Amino acid sequence: MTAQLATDHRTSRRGATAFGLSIGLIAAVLGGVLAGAADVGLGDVAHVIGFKLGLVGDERLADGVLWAVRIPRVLAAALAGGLLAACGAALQGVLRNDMADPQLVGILPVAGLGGVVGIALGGAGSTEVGVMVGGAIAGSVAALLIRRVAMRIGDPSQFVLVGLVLGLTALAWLGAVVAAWDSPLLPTFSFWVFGGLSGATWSLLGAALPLAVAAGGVLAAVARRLDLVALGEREARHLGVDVGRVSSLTLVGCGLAAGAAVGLAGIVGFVGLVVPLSLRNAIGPSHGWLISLSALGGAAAVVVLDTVARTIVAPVEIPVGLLTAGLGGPVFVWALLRSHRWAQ
Amino acid sequence: MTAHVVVQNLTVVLGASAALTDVSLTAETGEVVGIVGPNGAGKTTLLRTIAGDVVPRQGDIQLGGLLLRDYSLAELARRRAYLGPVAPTQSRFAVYDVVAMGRHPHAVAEAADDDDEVVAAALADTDVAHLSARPVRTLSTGERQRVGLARVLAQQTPLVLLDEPTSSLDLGHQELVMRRIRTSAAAGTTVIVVLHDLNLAAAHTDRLVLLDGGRVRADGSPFEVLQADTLTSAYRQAVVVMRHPHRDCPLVLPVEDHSGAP
Repeated sequence: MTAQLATDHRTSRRGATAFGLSIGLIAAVLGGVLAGAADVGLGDVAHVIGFKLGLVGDERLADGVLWAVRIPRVLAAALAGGLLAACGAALQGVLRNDMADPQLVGILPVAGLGGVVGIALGGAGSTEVGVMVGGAIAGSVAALLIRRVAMRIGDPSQFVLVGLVLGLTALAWLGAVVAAWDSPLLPTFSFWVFGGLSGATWSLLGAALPLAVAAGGVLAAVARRLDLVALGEREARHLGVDVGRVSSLTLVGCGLAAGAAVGLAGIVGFVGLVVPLSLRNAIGPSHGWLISLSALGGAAAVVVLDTVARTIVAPVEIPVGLLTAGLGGPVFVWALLRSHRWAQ
Repeated sequence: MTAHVVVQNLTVVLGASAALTDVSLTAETGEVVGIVGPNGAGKTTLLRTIAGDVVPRQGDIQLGGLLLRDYSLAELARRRAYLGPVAPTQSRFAVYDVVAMGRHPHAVAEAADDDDEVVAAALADTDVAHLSARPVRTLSTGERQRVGLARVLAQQTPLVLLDEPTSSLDLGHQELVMRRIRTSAAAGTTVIVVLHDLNLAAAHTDRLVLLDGGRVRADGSPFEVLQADTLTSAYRQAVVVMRHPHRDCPLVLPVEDHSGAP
């Protein structure tokens, strides 16, 4: 279905935004790989990729730090950021509430708790798979639960309050489990609460990837129908959309994304809130565009912030979630005020 | 003409009280059926039940010879369109995009290459083409109502259900919209339309159903239904009914009550 008349100007802005975000993401990834205590250049990056592909024979000293530490970390930051922002954009659509964010409505903390339980059940052999599976299941259940609460309550502000309480409760239980179990298998409480990417490995990325692909597939499949749901639930139903099924699918997609993101990076807040909010005025309300470009923007944002987090006061690291919240909060208020001005 | 919509002995209970009691009506293919009646008579409930939103306590609704409840959501979306009394207000989507959403039911069923033409025609017919690029939330209430009607027209269904489609429109646009509805009907679309304005109903419908207290009070041609005594009793307001000086339809005017009744 095309809509040329109305969206000519918007189509060009979408294209420009997509291009800009792609360039931004590539630059952020390269910057993230190059920045750090060990001095490496673009040549070293090309070399390690060539070496791993079998194109170059001899291993260099820089290959170790690049391949084992920086590249998986930057990729994990990009994947987590993309998932969080896509999840936020989809949540805002399905809950029809611009305040919806995977952390604010409690999905991320519950997914974190699920991740901890998954590690406990998975044992030493498969912490990566355990944290992802546990996070995805708990995240999906939390997301479905939140919609039930939202439908029951109706009032958007109260519903965000319920999400906050749900998140704080999950965080309390998570902290209790981490404190009581005190196992080296378990990432620290700081990782869960403030986020962090220092634990990123290829195996963790490998465990997250299937979830990310599944979440992306689900969200891509429902995006068009989310546009119709945005018109109103009754209107969508009259146009043949099974609103309940689309909502459940979207929420499960969000839950999978949240599970993967929390397993990769802990609880990183505000990305899912700020990125879609900042993009909406530029690219319009279409969920296909909003979700996919939010993913690009969220990926670039978290890669940049994680690079800042580990280099600004090196060798000490600031948890990346503190940066996203510390910077995202004011940006959120600003974007909200601006969008209200636009609406009038 | 063949019976397109058959409503038989419909009883609908909302909460604790009966909203509709033993309501029966038939709409022939290509007919414009108006539903009139005082506030709370059950007009909107009847329309929403025919739309499939409300499950009746008793009675059946047949659409094209099949029971309404046997249709899937997707099939129903290709067979009936519905415009609610209040157009959605908060949509950020542009007018064109919202009207194009009316094509959604056809997007999967058949290759819909003519979507753009259908949407453009719907925009022009409801006089909103000049608003194509505007976000719906920036429009006036009447403009939004016309956009809603354009979306319904773009859905191209054999049955169209309209709940007060002219409630926010100025005189010129009221006539424009009602004329457009009659054009659709002449081309074979069945229209069931809830109207408050009895004179609009008198001028532009083939048949009227007067609801009062959830029951059918009268059913017939505008001349048959719009009788002064019936209306005075249903609306608790004295009226006179005369022949429209320039149209072949009745004209209803409220008058001061001299009967002494409350």
